[in-house]
This record gives sequence, structure tokens and C-alpha cells, in this order.
Amino acid sequence: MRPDLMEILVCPLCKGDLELTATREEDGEIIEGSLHCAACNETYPIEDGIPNMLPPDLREA
Amino acid sequence: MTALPAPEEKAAAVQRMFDRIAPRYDRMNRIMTGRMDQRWRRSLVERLGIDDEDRVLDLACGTGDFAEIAREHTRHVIGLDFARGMLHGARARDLGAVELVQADALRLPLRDGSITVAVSGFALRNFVALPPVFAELARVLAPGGRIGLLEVDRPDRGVVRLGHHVYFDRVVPFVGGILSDRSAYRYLPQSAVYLPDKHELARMLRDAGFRDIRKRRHAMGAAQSITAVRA
Repeated sequence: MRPDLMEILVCPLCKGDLELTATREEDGEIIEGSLHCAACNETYPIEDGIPNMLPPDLREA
Repeated sequence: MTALPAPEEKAAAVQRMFDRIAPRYDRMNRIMTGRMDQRWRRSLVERLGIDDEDRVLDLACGTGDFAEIAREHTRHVIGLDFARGMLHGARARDLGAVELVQADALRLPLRDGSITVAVSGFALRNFVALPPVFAELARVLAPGGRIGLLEVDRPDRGVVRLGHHVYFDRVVPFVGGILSDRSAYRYLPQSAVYLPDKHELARMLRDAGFRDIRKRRHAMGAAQSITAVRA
């Protein structure tokens, strides 16, 4: 994902803002990292450039 | 014999099924519809009048068929699906700057009013319930935003209806069983029973806050496309 996606990306549960942590970037794209919702204390992983924004109850389905 | 999962099992069963059939999904769709599916998508994108000012959401994007066509009209396209296998398939295609997000249609991770166009291809029947999906679309769409929904349909004229029944209830599961996954291609035609009729669908869209609801039929009623505007 590109950092400007943060303009519209929110927590799927509370629709609040997320905090981005990028651990690997390539060509301006975040390949690995996470998105954290402080209000829900929930972390959504970014793997292979794709954020996994599934709510926790669906993540391991 | 039914290929449909129990209601409480539907979301998880559909997610597993789409992950399983993802590697051959595009090729199967092209074969099953004689490539007409892409023509219907293109026609719908044109009717929605997408331009570079638009931010487009492809809901249940699969491997990105709609996203790819929308990308020809705007740089801002988000492909969203809950099956990771499909998103990996989309990533493997050269879709340009399409953003891919794994998420649930009932709990979209998108800001209120952040999207101007939402499209979805052959996905409605896979949702557990439509009103909450339409409500989420209405939430993320800006006022005046447009939706375009493509789905299968059941022809209502006798001979066409019979031909449709033979093709989708006999030929598609048989060919799908040989080339991909037998249980999935028994489920996919049967899942059309989940679709409400056009009056019920229009009522659901109106209740969710959409107006100017229009339906167009394709291939003598084998498929339908619905457009509407967020009030």
C-alpha cells in the first residue's frame, strides 16, 4: 500500500484513525508493517503490501 | 441436493471457497461466460462516467477485473476482498496503482464519504445479507456518489429460462468440476437463490439511502447490472 491510502483508511471497528508503522518499503510502497487503532487497542498487519483490515473475529477464518 | 452452506456458516465457507478457487478464477469466468463478463463490466464502468476526479472502490474485487477497467479512467482505485488468495491473484496481475485491501464488506475500513464510485461484480449473492452491505456502501460514499452492481439473473422467458437452467445448473458445475473445484462450481450457480427480486433489491437500496435506481439486463436476462446514486 502507498502511504496516501492513510487519508481514507480507518479502523473497521470504530472507524477511528490508525497509526502506521512501516518496517519494509520499496519504491514508495509499504510492503511490511502494521496499522494500530489506539481506541480499540487493535493492530492490523500489512503483509506483501496488502493491509489485512479484517476484524479480529474474521482474521483466522 | 444443495451445495449451499448453512446460514451461520456462509461467510467462512464462502471465504474458504474463494481462497481455494482463486488461482483459476479469472480463466474460469472467461470460459463460463464466453468473455461476456468483461464486456458487461466495461459497459457498466462507462455508464458510471468514471473520470480522474473519482475514487473508486471495487468491493469484493476478486482478482481485480473491475479494478483493472476502472484504472483506465482514474488513478484512485481500491480493490477490497476478504479472501487473501484473490488479492494475491490481483497483485500478480499488472493492475498499475490499484490499492489492495483485505477487509469485510460489513465493516469497511474506509472513512465516511471517502469514495465517489463503488462497483461490485458477481458478489451480491455471496454476502450473508444485503441491507448491511448497502448501508456500509452508503456510509463510505460521498453524497452524489454512484454504485454499479453486476450480478447473475434468472431469465423469465420459457425457452431462454430452460437453456439458462441447463447451462448454469448442469454445464457450469460439470466444466467447473473438471477445470477447477467441483463443490465451488455447484455452489456458484445455486447461490443465485440468495438474490432478491428486482423490487426487493430496489427497496433495499432505497432504504440504504440510494436514489435513481436503474436495472439493465444482459444476455437475455442471464445477467443484470444495477446503478444508483447516493442521495
